Amino acid sequence: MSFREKILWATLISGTAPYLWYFGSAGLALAAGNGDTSLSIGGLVNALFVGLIVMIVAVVVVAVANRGRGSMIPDEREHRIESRGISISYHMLCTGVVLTIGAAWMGWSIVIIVHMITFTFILAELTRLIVEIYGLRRGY
Amino acid sequence: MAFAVATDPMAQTPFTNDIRTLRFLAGEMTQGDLGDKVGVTRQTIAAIEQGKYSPSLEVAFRIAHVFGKPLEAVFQWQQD
Repeated sequence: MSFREKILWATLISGTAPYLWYFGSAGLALAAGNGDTSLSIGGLVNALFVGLIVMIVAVVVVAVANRGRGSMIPDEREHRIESRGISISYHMLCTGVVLTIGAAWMGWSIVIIVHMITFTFILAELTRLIVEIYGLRRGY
Repeated sequence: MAFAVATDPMAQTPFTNDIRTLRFLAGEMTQGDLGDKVGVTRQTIAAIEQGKYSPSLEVAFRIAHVFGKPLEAVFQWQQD
């Protein structure tokens, strides 16, 4: 496994866990019909903060454990795979933004709007990571 | 002798290559060593060798240059 792929795995696993927990709870609260009371901007900021810290620690651990064994500068194959990941995640991002604008236009609460746009960014980033890891595993 | 093995037929490049043989003849050079000389990762050399990835013209020339061979001695167009 290349150094780049290890970093991507570390980012994916460490980044997914806190967000899955938070958005899973938020989704359940919405499904139960008490979304507006369960969701809060503060809770979202906490989840983002925890996610960021966990991600930084995981990436630093992987980088230190593999120091001198690789570079994060992509070669041409990795660059092509990275571009594919960015392209697909960009389409997801655009779709999420349009849906969020639609939700705002329909008069949904600001808390839900903020959660929707944040979820869109996180989902787009996770998509990019998954597409890149898949490409690196496949070889092209 | 050409090595162009790919598990996914759709991913097969339209050419074969002799990189594996040339590496062996060059003192059993590893994929990592070749990658370092060419400026790509070991995984990229492996993907090229297996016919999964088509390298750029520059990387193809660099690989040929490492072995001191012309491009067509390393890569051969696969006729139908």
